[in-house]
Amino acid sequence: MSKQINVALIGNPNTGKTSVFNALTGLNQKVGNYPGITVEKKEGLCKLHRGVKAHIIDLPGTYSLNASSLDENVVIELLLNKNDKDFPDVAVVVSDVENLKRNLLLFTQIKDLEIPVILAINMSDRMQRKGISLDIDYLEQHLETKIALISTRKNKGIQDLKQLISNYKELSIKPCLNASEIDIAYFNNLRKAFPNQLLYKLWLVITQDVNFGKTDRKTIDAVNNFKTKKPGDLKRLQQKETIKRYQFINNVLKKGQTIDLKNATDLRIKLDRILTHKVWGYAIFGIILLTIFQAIYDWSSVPMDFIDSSFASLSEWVKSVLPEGAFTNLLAEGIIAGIGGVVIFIPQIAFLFLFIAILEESGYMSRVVFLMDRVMRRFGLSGKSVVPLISGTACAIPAIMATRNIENWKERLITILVTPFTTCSARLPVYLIIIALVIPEGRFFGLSYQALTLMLLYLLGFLMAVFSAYLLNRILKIKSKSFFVVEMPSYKVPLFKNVALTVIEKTKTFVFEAGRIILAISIVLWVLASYGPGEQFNNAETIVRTEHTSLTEEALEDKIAAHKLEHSYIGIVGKAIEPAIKPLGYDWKIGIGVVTSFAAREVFVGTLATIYSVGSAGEDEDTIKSKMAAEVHSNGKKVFTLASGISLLLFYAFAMQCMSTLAIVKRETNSWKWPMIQLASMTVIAYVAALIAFQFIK
Amino acid sequence: MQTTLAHLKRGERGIIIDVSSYHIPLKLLEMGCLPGNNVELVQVAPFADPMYLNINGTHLAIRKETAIHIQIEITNE
Amino acid sequence: MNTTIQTILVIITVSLALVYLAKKFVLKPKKESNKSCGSSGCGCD
Repeated sequence: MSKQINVALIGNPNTGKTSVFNALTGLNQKVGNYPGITVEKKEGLCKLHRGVKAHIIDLPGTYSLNASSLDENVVIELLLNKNDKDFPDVAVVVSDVENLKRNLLLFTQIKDLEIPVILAINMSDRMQRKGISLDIDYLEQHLETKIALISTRKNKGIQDLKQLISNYKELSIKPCLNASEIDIAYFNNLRKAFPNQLLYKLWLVITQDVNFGKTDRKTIDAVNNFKTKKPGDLKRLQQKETIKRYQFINNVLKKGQTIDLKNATDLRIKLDRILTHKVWGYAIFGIILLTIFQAIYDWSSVPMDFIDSSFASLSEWVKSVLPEGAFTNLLAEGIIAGIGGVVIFIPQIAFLFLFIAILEESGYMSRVVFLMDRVMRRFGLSGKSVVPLISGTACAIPAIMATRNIENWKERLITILVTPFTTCSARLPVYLIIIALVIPEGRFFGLSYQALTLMLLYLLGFLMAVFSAYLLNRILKIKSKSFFVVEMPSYKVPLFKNVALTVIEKTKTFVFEAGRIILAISIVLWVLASYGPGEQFNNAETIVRTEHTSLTEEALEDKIAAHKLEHSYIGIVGKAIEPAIKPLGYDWKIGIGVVTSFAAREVFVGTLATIYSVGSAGEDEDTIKSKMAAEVHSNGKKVFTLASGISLLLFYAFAMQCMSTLAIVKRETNSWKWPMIQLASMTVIAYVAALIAFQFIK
Repeated sequence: MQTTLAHLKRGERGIIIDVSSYHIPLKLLEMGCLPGNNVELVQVAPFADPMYLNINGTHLAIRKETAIHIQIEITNE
Repeated sequence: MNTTIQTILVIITVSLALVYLAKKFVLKPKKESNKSCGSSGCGCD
């Protein structure tokens, strides 16, 4: 007999709520979305005692039930709706020792909803360092609750919490203060008009756009023996409510908590003095960034090579083991190659998110936001745009999802629109091969031209992002209230468990969100590249054999493959767009590569391998390079020159080819308008830039 | 001396006198920015924006355009 | 016999891929609030 208790974890951000969630659920957690909105839903299962399970929802962090953003709204929607299947049997308010006063605001509000509440005070290991001591019995009595003193870092208190959850029926649901005293007459009227509803619930409905059941703001307004107040009055009343709650909290804490500053050490102040310094702050941030990028670059190459060869072998093995035929080919060349194309980026992406997670867990990221906000604002962005922009160098998809914490809608939109300009991992294979092909040897102050070009491309992506943000800021006429606040938490040593779980989750997002789309497109493209209409395609083998009588069997096979590709559906598309791309220095072969890049940019290299008859030799870089270097136009001139190379680099730098990103932008902005604008403008920019480059340099 | 939070200097302390409910979002009040509470400037970014403050024990950063709507009384240097 | 099975499998796979892409890209999102972000009431401001 296994019963399930619904538990909701609520609390301020930065209280270690996530750590508590992780400690309770371990790997038994899943992340999804609340239906219809772009807010993450985190839930998990926890085994309590005697076969009883707890279904735990980790609600978005919030400072109060008065929601000021979409994710805070989720909290209040759940707590007001008794019919929701996730409506909690018991709520656990997670607070941290250092900010107990502020955390209790939310606590008193939830108490007013008459939901059983447990107060979990986390980070208890810091009490001594901060000179804080608590009278738990006193607090439990005056707050009408049960308290669990927890330290997720030292693994203490979790069992107590589980015990309290199991015994949730013993919790008192008496509110701890009478908030309606802020305007006795008004609330009496409200009570008379709706005798069957919780007073505080009604108040929440009135002050916000929240509905529960059949009572919503309109119904309340419609009851004519009850006069609602004007918005200005409501706001003043809310202010009074907040003040009153804090008065109560201050009174309780006067006896329940003692802080002896003599024993307190303040690492935060000392660190902040340097880390947010006018000069050193930025210097240190710059160094950290460079270190991160260098590390990612160095560390990922080994796993990437391994993954590359593994998938190549897998593909070969499948071909040899399964009976010959169309599906086997689809499996080996379309599906496995497609999956391989996604998996190969996991090391890079995981490492980047590892670093970002460490910076966030430690508390340093807030300082970065603080340092960068003013600068970012000149370009229509927010200090909080830093994380998405940096993440974009791994993959734009989790980066765009990371914009959810930007309060100002215009700043958030602009961040979403410009993040794809930052050089994502998928562009690298293309950059590397073109650079190797057309950039001459030589050094400039110790750095090779090739390395310099790569750095320049990264810089270019970033500058373009910032510049377009500036333009968009001018052009877009969107009114939005600018309210920026970032909490500066104490510095903490990152908890390995949290960091690991974050990295796993973000990487999963990439693999599944981007991966599925890339796989689907790879399949479709494979079909378009493997089949073609008419004579030329169907009789490819005969045609090629009669034409080239003196080649080896292997070389013939490659030639046949190339011929087939040329006359496949994709080949037809490539030829069709040739007139448009000729001014950029490309021929139809490159055209095919550009088209297939719409699945995933890195497919470009593999496609070129096939087109230039490298085929069975695999993706050996040198072979591809020498073949490409030897390619000539019909007029004898080389195809890959400095001019066409740079044109190609610029095109890839600016073009919006990633279908997966478009899908995410659509989801996060809730319409097709923005991704379409993004696609159109970025394509135009890419085209024009490539055009100018080629015409200028050739 | 009464002034706005935006004019607070490094290391100065003050007490909040009035918070304009029209301009200041409720969230800030709920984080502790209430009349009667202490406020101290910890650090400023270049151009004095944003401001890194210690309000009633909560460390946070807000933009100058928000701070200007909070009336304070400076208590000591 | 083998070729037929293979062809059928290919057709099934490709159809699945196309349906998936259609769902992601072509169909209107079935959201409770169809307000595009930017107008009031979506909670973002």
